[in-house]
Amino acid sequence: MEILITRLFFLLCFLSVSGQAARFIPERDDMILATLEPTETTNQALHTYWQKNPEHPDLALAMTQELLSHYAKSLDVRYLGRAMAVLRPWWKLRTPPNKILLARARIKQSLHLFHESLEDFDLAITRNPTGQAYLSRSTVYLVLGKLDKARKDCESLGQRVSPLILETCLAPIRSQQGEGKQVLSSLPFIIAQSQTDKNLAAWAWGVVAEIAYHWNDPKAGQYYAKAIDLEPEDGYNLTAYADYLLSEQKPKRVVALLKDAEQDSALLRLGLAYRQLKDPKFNEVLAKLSERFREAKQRHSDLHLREQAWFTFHLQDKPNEAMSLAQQNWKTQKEPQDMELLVRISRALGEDLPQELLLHLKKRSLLPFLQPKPRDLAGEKQ
Amino acid sequence: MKRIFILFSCLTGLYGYAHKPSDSYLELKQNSKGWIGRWDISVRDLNQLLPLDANQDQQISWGELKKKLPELKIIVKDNLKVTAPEGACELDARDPQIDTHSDGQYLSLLLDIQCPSVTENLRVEYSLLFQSDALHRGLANIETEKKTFDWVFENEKRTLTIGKPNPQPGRLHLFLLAGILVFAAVVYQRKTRVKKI
Repeated sequence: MEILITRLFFLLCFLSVSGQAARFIPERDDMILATLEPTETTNQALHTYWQKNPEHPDLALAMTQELLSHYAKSLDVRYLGRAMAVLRPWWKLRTPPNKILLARARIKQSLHLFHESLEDFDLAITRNPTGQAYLSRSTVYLVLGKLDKARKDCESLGQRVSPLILETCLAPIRSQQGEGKQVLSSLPFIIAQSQTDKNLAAWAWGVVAEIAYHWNDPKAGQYYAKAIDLEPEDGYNLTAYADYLLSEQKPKRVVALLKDAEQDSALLRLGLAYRQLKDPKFNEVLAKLSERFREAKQRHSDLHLREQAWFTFHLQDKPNEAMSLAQQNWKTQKEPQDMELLVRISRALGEDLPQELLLHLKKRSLLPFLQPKPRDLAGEKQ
Repeated sequence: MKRIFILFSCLTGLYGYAHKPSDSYLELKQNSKGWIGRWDISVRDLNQLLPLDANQDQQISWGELKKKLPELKIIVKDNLKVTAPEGACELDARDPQIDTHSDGQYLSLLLDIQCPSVTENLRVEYSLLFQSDALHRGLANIETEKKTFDWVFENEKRTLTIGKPNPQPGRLHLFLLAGILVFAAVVYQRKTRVKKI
């Protein structure tokens, strides 16, 4: 009976998303149509100065760095598009100035143009092997699952950076090479003992939290809380924390954390939280995400593969389709959340893991990733 | 130890391409009298083209948007050029309304497109926002009397030809010139033959 009621609830949800709101003329002049991000109205002076000198590399770089830092907080792709437009005079140049090259590589990385991004990082490192370039390139290697190369880049940081940066760079690689427990026994102490700025500490606690989550360490929640206390608007850590809370069967806390979020990744988690709570707001989120994926398809964008697989599995109950999307995504993105999604879909389908993933995990001594988290077993999808 | 400047939050992995990019939605429809259209543009994007937040409270109200409609209509017309085989079409944007899309409110304008004659052949040039946002796209839906199709305008793909391509003015001149030359050559040849006889 409960299953029947649940199915009826979701049937009604799906039926109600098909309707679209009509166009209207607002009755009152004070009706708010858009709320601007604080960042859309600041630093007008720099913007004006750059508009007068759009080919000045230092001004363009200052603009790009500002836009990228807004992107890092909000994950709003409009900032990437604007940064790309600022770098237009250098976008197709083979050998732009090194600082521009690094900024361009970071934009390409965020647009999932991983190989093009690596070409830029390679050139930047050949010309001037800075810590920033090694650190950034190691992140791209990590996303691509090229752990040996990522490790080599972190080790190249050597004396260029503090021990905290070096250890934090190495931590996710060591974790994926089977050394998660060793990382968790040392890195939290290194962070606690370091006098460092908020941005760096938030990054480091976020890395520790994610490793703790994947290795079933009970302190994962505490670590996420530390990271978010330091940088409450960090889009990445908020989403990762939401994943943790969902696996802990704490959907109410996910709603409190993400209720005003607009990013696709946050909306996905919010949707699952509403679903677990049987809250009718699930309809709105489902409708919004369905429209966004339809539009992404119209744009011919396959940048959403991971999100689409997640959506198809967790919110649309289509594990076969989700498996196909997740496998397509696995061809380029090989982060722990990609592995976790494949493991969950395989388990839901009652199938063995895809051979390629199994080999990947065995080769890296990552078989603990295969063990379902105890809390997961209680709350696994029905 | 050298210090490095870096934004550490950019070093985490990727939680996807996580926010809807900037899109506008353009509909063009052919009817017995010619063409009509509708164009939905995000209020946030309009603020990039023309600052709308008059009282600087970081919110854009309907009243603030309404006051700027004359300027906005000029910007809109300036970024959508429609041409028929006989020449440029006049575009009028009217009846502003608000439409809700998956990432918020959009200004929705009806487009009257007056071409020199009734035609199914159009050339559409779209240039909205490309200057300030390289990832902006114009998602278009075109309905002719024969078919309906989607089209995506992007920075490198700003022009759409509907029906037969309009003759390019440069080429037309070339054809005319070539025709005159051939005619002159034929006349000259005949005259020289007559003289010889």
